[in-house]
Amino acid sequence: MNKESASVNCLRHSWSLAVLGLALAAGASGCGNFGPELVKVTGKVEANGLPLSKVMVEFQPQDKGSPSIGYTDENGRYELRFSRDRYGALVGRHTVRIDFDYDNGSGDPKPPFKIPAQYNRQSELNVEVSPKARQHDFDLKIADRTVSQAR
Amino acid sequence: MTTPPTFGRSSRGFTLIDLLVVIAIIAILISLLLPAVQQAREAARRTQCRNHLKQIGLALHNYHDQYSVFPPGNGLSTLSPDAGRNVNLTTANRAAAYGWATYILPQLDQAPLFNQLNVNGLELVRLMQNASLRPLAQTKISVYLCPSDTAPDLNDQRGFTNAIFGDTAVATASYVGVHGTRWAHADDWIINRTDPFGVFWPGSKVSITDITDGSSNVFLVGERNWENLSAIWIGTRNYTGNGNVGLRQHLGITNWKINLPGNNSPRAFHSNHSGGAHFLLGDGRVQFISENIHCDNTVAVTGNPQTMIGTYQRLGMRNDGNIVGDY
Repeated sequence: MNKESASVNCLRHSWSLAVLGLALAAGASGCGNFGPELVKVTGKVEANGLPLSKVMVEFQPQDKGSPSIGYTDENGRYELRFSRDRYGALVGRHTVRIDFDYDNGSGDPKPPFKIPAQYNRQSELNVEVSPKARQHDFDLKIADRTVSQAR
Repeated sequence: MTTPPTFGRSSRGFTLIDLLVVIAIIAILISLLLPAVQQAREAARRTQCRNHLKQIGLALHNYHDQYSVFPPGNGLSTLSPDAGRNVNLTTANRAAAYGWATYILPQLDQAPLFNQLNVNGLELVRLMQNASLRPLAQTKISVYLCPSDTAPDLNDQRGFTNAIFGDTAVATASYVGVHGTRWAHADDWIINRTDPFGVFWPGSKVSITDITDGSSNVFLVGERNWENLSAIWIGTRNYTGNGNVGLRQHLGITNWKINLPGNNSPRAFHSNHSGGAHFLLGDGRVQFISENIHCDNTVAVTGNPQTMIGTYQRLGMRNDGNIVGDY
């Protein structure tokens, strides 16, 4: 009676020990998040009030830093990516560029219309990224008849 | 005949609990050890990748010693309609040419292959049309492969896609020449004198003295991994365009961030090493460039891409005249 209960106790003990050890090992090996602190950023891009798909959204830090890039889906939603393994953007003020990702001369299909320079090359879009400001939506005004036709 | 009960129990060997404890300890040890082994393997691959780039750098400098210039990004085909200036290459399949990596084969102890290709006698356009000579372009050259790159030996994403070339996939390379910060394919360069600002472009003849920013501040060669379709060493199928089977086959631009996957990726620099990519610089040094490097392709003076303000962009330009800060 006594012996059995002791062995059950011991069994439990060894199991908990093993689980603890495994958790420690996983913790020691699992965290590979080097580099600067990032904040996850998502949002929506619209043109004249309608979702704009397949455009590139680039957040360029205004202090020296490395940009984050996202691509909108068919609902105009994007999520910023900093590198292959990490999502988000650096904290601070960013200049935002929104444009089709078209490489001139590549033979890829041309974008259906032009997005004005004030949204990309000479961007006037400035946003502040912080842990409290993770959602950034943009509504572009594009005076081009093909915008509505393209959808 | 009587056996003491306590003795019998303890002599039976180990119990289930002992076994479980031993298994748990072994599991912990293995789980601690395995990631370390994997990291050691990646560290070894990284070192080998550095070594490959170093050898490429020495070969480029040996070539420079011999000819006083770095090899061209790719040669120019004399079979084009306007052979002299290569203007208006109307038929893309005549615009195939050997790339920089082919020109330095003799400097990489690959002289027999260089001679079999007959680089100076037979143009790539002709070689690729000849079914019996095509396999030469499929020769695997380990110096041109990063051990971390998972690309297959034959790059079927950047092949010689025309029927005239037998729609042939040629040997993969993990390294691309630095073209600059914008594309300047043959017509751009020859007609408009559009300078891509890098060291390699169609028909380029850049010498150390042309690298006015100082050779230690300019990239020569960088990495591209299979996620971004890698590269090929033989040259390009069409140097009059910069698509996936155009200049992107052997050159890249530093307009875009390192290691960021996306639609733009197949034209930039990427590696499978975590946190950045290796670059060969003009002075023969190989450096691991972090993906956190100051990267900004904003043009400071409107219309002049030479004024891009990012450190990474400036490292891709040989003649921007800007000071490269810490990186």
